[in-house]
Amino acid sequence: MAQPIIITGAGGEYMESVTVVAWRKSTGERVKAGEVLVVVETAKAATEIAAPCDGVLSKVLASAGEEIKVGAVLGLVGTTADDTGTEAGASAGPARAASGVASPTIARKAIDGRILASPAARKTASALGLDLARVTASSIHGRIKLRDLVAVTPRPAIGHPSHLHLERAGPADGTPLVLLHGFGADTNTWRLLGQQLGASSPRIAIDLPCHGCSPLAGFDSIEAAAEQVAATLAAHGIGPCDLAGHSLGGAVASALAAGQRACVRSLTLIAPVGLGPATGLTMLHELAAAATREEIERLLPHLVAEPALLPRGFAEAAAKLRSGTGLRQAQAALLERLFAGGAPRFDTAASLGRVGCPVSIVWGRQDRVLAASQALAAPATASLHLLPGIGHMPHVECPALLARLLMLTTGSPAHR
Amino acid sequence: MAMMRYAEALNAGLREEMARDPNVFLFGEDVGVYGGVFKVSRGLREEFGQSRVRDTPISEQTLAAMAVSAAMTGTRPVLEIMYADFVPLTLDALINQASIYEYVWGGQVRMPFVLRTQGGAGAGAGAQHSKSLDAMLCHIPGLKVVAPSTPADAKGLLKSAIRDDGPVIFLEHKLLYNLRGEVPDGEHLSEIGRAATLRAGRDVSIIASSRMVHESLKAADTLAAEGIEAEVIDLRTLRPLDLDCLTASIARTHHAVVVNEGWRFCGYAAELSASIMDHAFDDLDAPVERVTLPDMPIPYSEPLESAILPTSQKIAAAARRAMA
Repeated sequence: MAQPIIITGAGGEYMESVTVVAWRKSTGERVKAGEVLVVVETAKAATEIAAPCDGVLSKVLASAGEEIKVGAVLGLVGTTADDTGTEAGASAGPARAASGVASPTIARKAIDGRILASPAARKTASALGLDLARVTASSIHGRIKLRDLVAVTPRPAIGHPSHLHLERAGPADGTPLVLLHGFGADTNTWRLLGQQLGASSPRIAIDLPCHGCSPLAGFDSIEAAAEQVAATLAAHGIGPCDLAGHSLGGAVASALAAGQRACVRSLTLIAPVGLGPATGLTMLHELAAAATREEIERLLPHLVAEPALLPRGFAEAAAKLRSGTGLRQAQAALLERLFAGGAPRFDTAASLGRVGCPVSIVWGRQDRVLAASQALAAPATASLHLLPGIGHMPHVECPALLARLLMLTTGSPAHR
Repeated sequence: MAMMRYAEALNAGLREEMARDPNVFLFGEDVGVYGGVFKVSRGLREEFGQSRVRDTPISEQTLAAMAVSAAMTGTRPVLEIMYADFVPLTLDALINQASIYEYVWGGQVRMPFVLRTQGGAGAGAGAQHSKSLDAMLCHIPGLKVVAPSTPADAKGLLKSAIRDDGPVIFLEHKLLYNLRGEVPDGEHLSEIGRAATLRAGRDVSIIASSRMVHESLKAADTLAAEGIEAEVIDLRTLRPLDLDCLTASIARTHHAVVVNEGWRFCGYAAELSASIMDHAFDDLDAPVERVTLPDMPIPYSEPLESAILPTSQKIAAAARRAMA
């Protein structure tokens, strides 16, 4: 049953009608109760209309520029994108009176139609030519802050030296799932998982610095890598996202979710590095140097529980992607920098302590690179999924199971 | 580096300046035979004689006028007013003499004196012996006002204050006298008008002075555990204000919490807030948060007194409000 989005006496009880300024959410997008959905304008003020409940914006009944009567239904929030049924057939539209429904929360009302924004956000928006009417305020004070501009920052020229290579897959609409691969891998590592995820959500796989098609310059700290990922997401206009990372990518994902540069809705870590000592360092050095099918095949028993169960041609494909000499040298140097003296020079547990969104940790019980027992260092709020008979590469060894776990964490409607 | 207490560092600063310059002399209530009620001038009367370390009657108004006259005639007096609460008795000398004479006489006189005093609450000393009157003193153009938070600055700033050719109000804190800290060996001067960043952080600038610096550092620890990285700035000098330090910090963090142990209305924190808005408005991502004493007399009851004092918890809460 969908809930109607309505306006009552927005900005003055004498008003008969209002004009829709802009929708902050698009059809099919997940929304939370109280989150701003749409901005309307009366003669005196711009007013935000908030979601009446958690759900998905299933229907928009009045688009930007339209003038509608106070009390009209602007759209519907359903349990799924297809849920447009209401008890009184609200899809009948804009003139319906607003009785018997939760009154909308007015999150932020600016005097004289001015949008409330911090001076710094206002200055930055002006410098970047951003329209503050398109920006959602995340502050509990209802004011647009600097961090809210990240989602709408225009995409700078591609080829910026610090920006990372990314690949998109899945549907165009919806909250994207951002994927960060492990050491020595690249976006291709997610192919099998992608087949399982299908059309559930848009996916954005990113090549970490010094990996895949991204710049070969390494990074000195996990935070620096997270910063580059954040900058890349911002440059592509990617706003709130679900985030998943494997191994090294798990540490980067944790740092990204712990910071304020990106809006992360959920975090899934697959055998993340940094919760304890790395036992397979020698193997990682061999991986950094590996360039042939034979070399990769020799390493597989360390990486996965059952090499025989991997898809045919796995080692060959991996070797092909590692053929660049510069890439291998850069990754060997990166390994030295990140694990000087054998211990990781970063603390994923500390990052996780600062993460506010739901966190799931997935670990193969047969992991020979990072022991699954390291998951016990995670904060109590994280959910743990320990997979029997699986090694360090759950996304390759059991993609279907991992897809289910991911959708549990992201709250994807397909698997609720 | 030597470890010493704040009071010992002040004592060392006085001793060095008195040895260096025969024109420096101390006077005030109980500074001589008794060595000062907080023992800051302990041993100096024995070392430099009673003409340079003088006990006086309890008459603050007269003492301040004496400091002005002595400074005008070429000496460098260091006056101790035992409690900041009684500095208002000296205000005529400060407002109508010390702060204006160089100006009204066209630079023909210098006013090199230091008025040392101590203020602050937290000792159960009641409404008449606990105040922080920073704002009242900083309101007067022509005065410099310093407020060290550490033993090193206590010594370094006191030596600089004594050498300064204008009137300097030197604000100590009764709860800091026993604070131990490292003090550089040899000649150590701290520049008046220069703040110090005691802890770097990218999220919020906490700006404080005197004892509130230590509460702010504690708050920064609490905030760090929550993922908020606070920068802590010790003003050291309240006037002239080191605006460059503040604006540079706020340009990085975009959030400011200003802390002062004095009253809120027309208080020093209000001035900090206004100065930040004057000079860094476009860098602010949230309103400046003020943490101060409420506008009321300081209770004698220790539970009530501790309830109204600015604390690390209140500072951390203000930082969270700014970041929300």
